[in-house]
Amino acid sequence: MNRRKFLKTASASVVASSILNMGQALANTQVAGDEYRALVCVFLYGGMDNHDTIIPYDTDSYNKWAQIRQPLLSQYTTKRDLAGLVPINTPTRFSGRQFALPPEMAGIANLYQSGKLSIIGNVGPLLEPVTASSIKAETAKLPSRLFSHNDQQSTWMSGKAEGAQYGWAGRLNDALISSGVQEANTFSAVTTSSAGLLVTGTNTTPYHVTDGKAATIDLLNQFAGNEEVQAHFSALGHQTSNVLEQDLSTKINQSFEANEMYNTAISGQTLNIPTFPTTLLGRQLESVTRSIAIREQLQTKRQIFVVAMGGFDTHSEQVRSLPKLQAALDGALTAFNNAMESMGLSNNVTLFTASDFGRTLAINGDGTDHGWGAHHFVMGGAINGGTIFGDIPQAEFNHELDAGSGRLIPTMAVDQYAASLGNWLGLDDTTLSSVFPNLSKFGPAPNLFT
Amino acid sequence: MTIKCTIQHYAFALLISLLVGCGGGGDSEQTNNSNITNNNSNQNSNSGQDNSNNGNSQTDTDNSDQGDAGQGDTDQDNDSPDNGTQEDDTFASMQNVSKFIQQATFGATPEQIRTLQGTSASQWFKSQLEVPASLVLPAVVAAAPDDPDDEFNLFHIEQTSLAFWRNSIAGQDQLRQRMAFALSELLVVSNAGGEVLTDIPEAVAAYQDLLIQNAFGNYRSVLELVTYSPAMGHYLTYMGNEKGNEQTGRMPDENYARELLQLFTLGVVALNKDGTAALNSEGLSVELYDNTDITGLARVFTGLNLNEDDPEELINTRFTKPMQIFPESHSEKEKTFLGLTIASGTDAQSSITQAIDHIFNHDNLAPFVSKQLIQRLVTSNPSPDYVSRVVAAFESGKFVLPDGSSVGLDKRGDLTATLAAILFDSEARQVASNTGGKIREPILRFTHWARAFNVQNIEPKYIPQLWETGATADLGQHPYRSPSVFNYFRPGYKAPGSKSAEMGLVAPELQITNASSIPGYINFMTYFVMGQQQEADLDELKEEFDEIGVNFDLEKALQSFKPDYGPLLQIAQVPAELVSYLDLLLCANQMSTQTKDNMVAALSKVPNDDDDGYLPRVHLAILMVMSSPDYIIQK
Repeated sequence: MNRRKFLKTASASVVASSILNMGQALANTQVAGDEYRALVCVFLYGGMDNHDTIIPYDTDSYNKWAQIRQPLLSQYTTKRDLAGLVPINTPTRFSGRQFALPPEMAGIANLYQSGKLSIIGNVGPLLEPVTASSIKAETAKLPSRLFSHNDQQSTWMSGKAEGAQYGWAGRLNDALISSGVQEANTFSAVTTSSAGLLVTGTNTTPYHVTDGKAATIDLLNQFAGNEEVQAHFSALGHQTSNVLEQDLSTKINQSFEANEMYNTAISGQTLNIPTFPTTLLGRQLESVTRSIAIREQLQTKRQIFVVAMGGFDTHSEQVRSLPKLQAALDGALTAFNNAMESMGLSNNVTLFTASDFGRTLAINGDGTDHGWGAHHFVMGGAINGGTIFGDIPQAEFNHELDAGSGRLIPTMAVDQYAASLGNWLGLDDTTLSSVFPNLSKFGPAPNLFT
Repeated sequence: MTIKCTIQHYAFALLISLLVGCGGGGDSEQTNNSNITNNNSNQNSNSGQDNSNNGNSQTDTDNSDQGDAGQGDTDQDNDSPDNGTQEDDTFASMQNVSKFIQQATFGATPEQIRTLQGTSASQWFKSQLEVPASLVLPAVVAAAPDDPDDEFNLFHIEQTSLAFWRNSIAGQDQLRQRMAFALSELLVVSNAGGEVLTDIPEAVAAYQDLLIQNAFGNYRSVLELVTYSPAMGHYLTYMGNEKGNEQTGRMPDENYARELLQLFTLGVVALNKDGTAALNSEGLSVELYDNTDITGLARVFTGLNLNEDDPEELINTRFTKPMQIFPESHSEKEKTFLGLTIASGTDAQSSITQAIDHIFNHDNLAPFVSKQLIQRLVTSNPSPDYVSRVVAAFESGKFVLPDGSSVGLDKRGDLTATLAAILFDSEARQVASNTGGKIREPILRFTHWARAFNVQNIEPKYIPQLWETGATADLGQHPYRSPSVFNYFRPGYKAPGSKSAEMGLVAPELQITNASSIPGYINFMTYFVMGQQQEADLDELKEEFDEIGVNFDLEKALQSFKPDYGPLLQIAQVPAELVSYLDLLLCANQMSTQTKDNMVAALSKVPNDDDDGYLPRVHLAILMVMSSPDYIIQK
């Protein structure tokens, strides 16, 4: 099939070409010295509904949105009416438009208002700036396999569809190593989920940790003095001509050694970690906090963490599932911010969200379908907080940023978002351009940091 | 409970009679002649597991109201009366038997290795087609609380898992069960959500049975049954899907339309017949469809909802019946996708039939499905030629077994022919090349253990660990409980930074292999291998049973999943013998000399214990084998 019907109709209404006024050039926020810095990616599997996260709040925009979303809105137990939403300060460049967060995200709204968190609007995978017209004219160069979960997860993490080898955070860490900011370290990339692609590079392998401690093989205590047993379970020096078996034994060996190192580092440490919610995400961010707390023992100067929560693929029963997910996200982010502040590390740790894609503005009965661009959060003491970067297109159909049914065409590339984070880790523009070769096709990366 | 126990005992009785029936060699009671090789009986080729005279077979169609389910197997013996005229040497050696049975079932038993050697593998395959299906739904129904409004009853809910473990370990229909499990990783539904599909276990149970009953059927029927199944309807959110409404902007739910194409039938890019991507003139792969195809196809799957024929019927029962069509909710619009236009005004049933026919006849279907089934059963990276050969069987619906007889009903999509083509292919039968083999999934490793050591008293209800094995501290995988429709691992997963990926190879199961899951699996196995269940403090479990009102038999609980290490204890004095026994039984003699030597050295240091004799040595030996890369890579 061609793209004839990709767009429902063309439209004359043109949204301001926001790519140009996205922000200033990357400020040189490279750091000198030995200051610790960590990025924490919260990956929201399934595609979080951007239209039900950053909600129009000025009366005109709200009414347009509410009309389209009415069948859902009438069913929410916590009302998403103007009185129930949590408004946030909106930059003047939005010319009087205002925004709010859903009631379940009051904690995040509070972080925004107090300058600890900002919103990145309409970010998504792009190869070049495109519009509804250029897609319709088939002149647009598009990322492959748009709207497909696994491929867009992979594209968000690596720029390529499923099967990709290296994620951008892994490549950033590779660059940190090659530029001498830090030495290769087993614990510079840590995941608590299966989202390891993001933090995989040629010199960067994700380390998996669960509940703040490294897993151990119980059996080994029983055979402590038996060196052949120890060698066997660590797959030490395992020889084989079979390629998969080589990969597996490498993995077993690396895991074994990393687990030992991690447990040595954590042993004898008493950590005073503030309480986290017992949600899946809360527990993962607590794990991250515990790892950050032993950063000196692990000898890391830069770390990149990936945590994940699922369930955002709200094709159905969105009113029942989405508020719970948003509340879980809200609770975990608030707790993580508290933890970093209490440890005095707020300026050293930046958390950001990512997701497969946004969702349709149109509803399908009781849910929404796969979209493209979405709105995200960055959080931490180092960021330029309490503002919105990028665009929040109006909640309407058939405009230049509508890929059909209100699937937003991104106006900020993931590459730009990621480059800004990489810059904060200490990489210069030249290095970032080599990590993100398409960067030059877009306007300057947003300056997320003060 | 009585019903369930009866079923179980029935299954055991069958299992035992099978073993007796097929044993040319030694007595099939727990033989004292421990070494598999020593018990090499003088088989003749007609002594194989010939239970084709199993006349009372309750064929799977009997309790199925689901179209032409399972016709593949019931017609089998009419279709190919010849028992084969050529010699089938597939099972020439015990090593060959071990390898084949591990690919075709949930694990090889010592008896199988001993008794099948020298018999006809073709005959074994055909006899498996005739074994009555072991189902899941009866166990779920039997465990339903008397009062349907009874709140959350874990014992009822977990029957889907418990029946899976019983069937996969003790079911006589091993080939069928294994194929159904492979299909369940392609056509994924999951009760992981903790919501409707968890609370109403009948839904997933009926889906499991659908795959079990059609494991030897036709992929076209499977697609249709899946499309109408409430489990899939709920899982991919098209149950209750309404036609669009231009006034309100409401669109049909696209979820099933997308995943049906992307995951269940065609994939995303055009494929050659050998499973490789077809490239355009610029050398690029070609995407098959875009979002207009998805929105077009989404209209087809509107108007389906739970069956409401009988207003008195319990919702749990409705979830076991095909979804019903509600014409007023079905889109009257034209439905265009992949070059097909279904005329406006076409009704739901006809639209679904046309859509599935169109997808089923797409060139991508055979390579897409065939390659994934090869990956589940034999190797992660089949050669293009291997894929082509299986595709030929899938498309022609026919496969000639080594004995010269043929299987399949000569129709495109025949799963019996496809399965035979996968298992009997030279690439599956020869020692794997350096790029061959696959990682055994954690679920299979556990069932392999249970079958290899003749685990007795398969009462998973007494083993809380088996109610949920999905955590990385356990198996990191649970049947029918994938985190998403993408299964636990993707067929196209290339492990970042790995040698296989550098060579362009995929390694699906490496996706769930990490620093947490590697020790987690070993610890999980340690519990079972060492028989810690037999020493567990079961007070808490008993309390839970009492609360649910389920009879708790302490003796049975303590004996549940009890392995028989008798044969191993007999040879444990000589570590090398122990290692070679396990090598044959679990690794089809694929263990490297390096691993074996190291194991012998390690085991030699574990002395004969005053209390336990060589039991600690046996435990360690099994755990070492089952955690070795030599075993975990099935090659």
